[in-house]
Amino acid sequence: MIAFQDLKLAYRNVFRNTRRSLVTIIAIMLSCAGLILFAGYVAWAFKSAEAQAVVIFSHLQLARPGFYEKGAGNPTAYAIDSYGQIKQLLQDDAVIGPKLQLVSAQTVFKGIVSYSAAHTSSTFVGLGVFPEDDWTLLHWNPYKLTSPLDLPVNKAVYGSAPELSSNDPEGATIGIGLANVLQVNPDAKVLDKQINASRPAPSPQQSDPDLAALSQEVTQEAATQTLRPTIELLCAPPGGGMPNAMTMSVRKIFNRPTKELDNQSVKLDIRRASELLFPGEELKVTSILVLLKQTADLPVVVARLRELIAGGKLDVDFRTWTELRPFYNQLTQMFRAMFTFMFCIIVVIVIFTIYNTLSTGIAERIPEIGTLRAMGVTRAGIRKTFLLEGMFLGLFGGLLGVLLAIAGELVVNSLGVVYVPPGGSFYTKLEVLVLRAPIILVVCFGGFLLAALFSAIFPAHRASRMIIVDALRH
Amino acid sequence: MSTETVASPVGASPLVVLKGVRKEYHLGKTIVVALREITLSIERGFFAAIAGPSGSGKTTLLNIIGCLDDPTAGKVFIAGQDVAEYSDNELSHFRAHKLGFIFQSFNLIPVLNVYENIEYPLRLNGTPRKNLKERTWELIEAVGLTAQSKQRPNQLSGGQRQRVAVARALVTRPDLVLADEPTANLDSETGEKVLHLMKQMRDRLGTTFLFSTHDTMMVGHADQHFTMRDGTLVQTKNGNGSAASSL
Ligand SMILES: Nc1ncnc2c1ncn2[C@@H]1O[C@H](COP(=O)(O)OP(=O)(O)O)[C@@H](O)[C@H]1O
Ligand SMILES: [Mg+2]
Repeated sequence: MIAFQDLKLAYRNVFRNTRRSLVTIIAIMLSCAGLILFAGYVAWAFKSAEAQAVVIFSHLQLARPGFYEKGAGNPTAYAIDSYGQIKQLLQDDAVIGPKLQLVSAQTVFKGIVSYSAAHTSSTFVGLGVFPEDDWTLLHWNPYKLTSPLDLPVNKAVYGSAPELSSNDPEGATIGIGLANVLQVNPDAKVLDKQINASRPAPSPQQSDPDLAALSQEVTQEAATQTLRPTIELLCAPPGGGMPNAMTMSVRKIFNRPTKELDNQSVKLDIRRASELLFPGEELKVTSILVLLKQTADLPVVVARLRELIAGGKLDVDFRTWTELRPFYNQLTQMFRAMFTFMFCIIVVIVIFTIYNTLSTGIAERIPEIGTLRAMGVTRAGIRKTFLLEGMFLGLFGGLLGVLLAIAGELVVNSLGVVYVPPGGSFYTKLEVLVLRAPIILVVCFGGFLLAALFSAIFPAHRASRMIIVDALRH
Repeated sequence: MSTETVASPVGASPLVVLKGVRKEYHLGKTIVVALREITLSIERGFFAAIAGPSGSGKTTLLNIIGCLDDPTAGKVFIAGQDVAEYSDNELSHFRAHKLGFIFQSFNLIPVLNVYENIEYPLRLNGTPRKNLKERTWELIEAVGLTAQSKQRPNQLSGGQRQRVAVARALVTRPDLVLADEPTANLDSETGEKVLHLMKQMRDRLGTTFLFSTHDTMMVGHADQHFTMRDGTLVQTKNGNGSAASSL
């Protein structure tokens, strides 16, 4: 049992040699804060990487069986014509429905694009999306990270309106690489600015910025039609036969996450893609996208999906976002290994630091230990005293470390460091999550406290086994 | 006054009995014999002294009586109990309740103030919380340190420190207080005063005292005194007309 008396004595003994204890506490504080900040960075990197992947892939993609194994060469051969029914089924499902943020679709296809103005052409990879759904997907941010869309560097690219617009079905966006290949004027922003300058000011009653932007685009579209570069998309129908062609105009030029994609990407309204690939037919898509409110719900949703598939209610195959982007797991594994390695090294150093401090203290207090034993303190009592002293060192160092880490979080987050993370497609603000990931504080602080107690075990044991008369004669 | 408290009840057994106590220390291959077959007894309420030159075995003898060390051979009985039968934890408990210690270099707890130092043994032996204050203050006043109660040991003079030690040793009302050369680190006048205080406390509380000294001047205060040389008792005297130990 630990009485207040024991705590008082241990506390006073810790600060008996103020300088030595302060040095130890500062060492613990710095180690603890460093570890927490690193963990906070890792936590941010995980969440940021997750968000960056999810806004591109969504959580789950559903496709016709065989699409993932054999569809790469001819994705449209695996098109789904029952998108509406599947969406309804998912939304009505008692398990999946409440967890859904969005169900949408995309069509991936290949073909040849040509730009007659420059007499250039190239193969392309087409991506058809529902423009407004694509915008919703891009805004998924459950971890309340600084949204990349809010960063000035990205605003220049995204503006405040979706990449595509349902009101502009002819407008497509292409990758910068593809623009270079085709020699399409990559300075589309300049084009936009010229139009902006000649555009009437938005009417004052439109308070919603997105709505305002959309309506601006509507007025703008007529004007831009003639100014925008026009490209021709040419696709062979999945079943063979005469290729089908379609004219689109370039709305914007975008940087795509990978070089390959950037060199080939054409993004357009999914309904236009369907018309191009399946002329005269109802809407067909190659994948259905499922976005959840939170990633943590994914296992439940996957399990339910398996049930639906096994029960014959759904005839689809599916992939989760981590399967679609294996990079995420590689990243997290690497960071976990780094964190574990650092944690071990730092904890070992802390253990040695506290061990050394306590051992020195004990060596100086041998007659005192003898006195306490003579007065009737048991071996366990002596052990307790030194365990408590170790605990206090860990407690103070750890608490100060936590405070320092929180201060560090505020500093790092206010620096506003912006970069394109590995595997990312747009600028992201570097952050560390300390207060937003309290589990890190608990684990690091708890770990340090345990390490402190652990490092006190051996010196405390030694002190408790001292021979009383030798200690008194010391 | 003193003869009243000193006189032990007729037929009561002595508080301390040593029978053939021998103590050897092994230093590598050489054996140092610190005590050679010591047999003695000390009556309850006695103010007893052990005199002898440095190295004669006084500390060793007090340590054995104080249950801090065990003899190589022989028996130690305190209040009739063979202490060799006690485990380490039982000995700790025994010391906390029945014994008090006063050391040559005071050995106060430096991080505790006067009040806390004196209160410490009471907390250790589980004295009810409500009695702590009263009993601590009683001793602080008895040794005359009321004004210094909030001071830490390093703010006190040697004589004051030893008075704290006397109070600390007595606060639990032990049966026996062992004081190993309590005056050796004090000038002779202060030493006299401390010894006088100890004896005064014996008169007041009836506690048995056994103190050692290498200064033969000090033994004049004792009811009973032993003289040691090279680990043997060379002389046992009962002074002040008190009951003689039956050796
Ligand atoms: N731990 C020990 N190891 C070896 N010899 C010791 C030890 N303690 C005491 N002695 C020896 O025992 C003898 C008695 O010592 P001590 O009891 O300290 O005498 P005193 O207290 O009268 O000065 C001395 O010769 C001393 O050197
Ligand atoms: Mg001695």
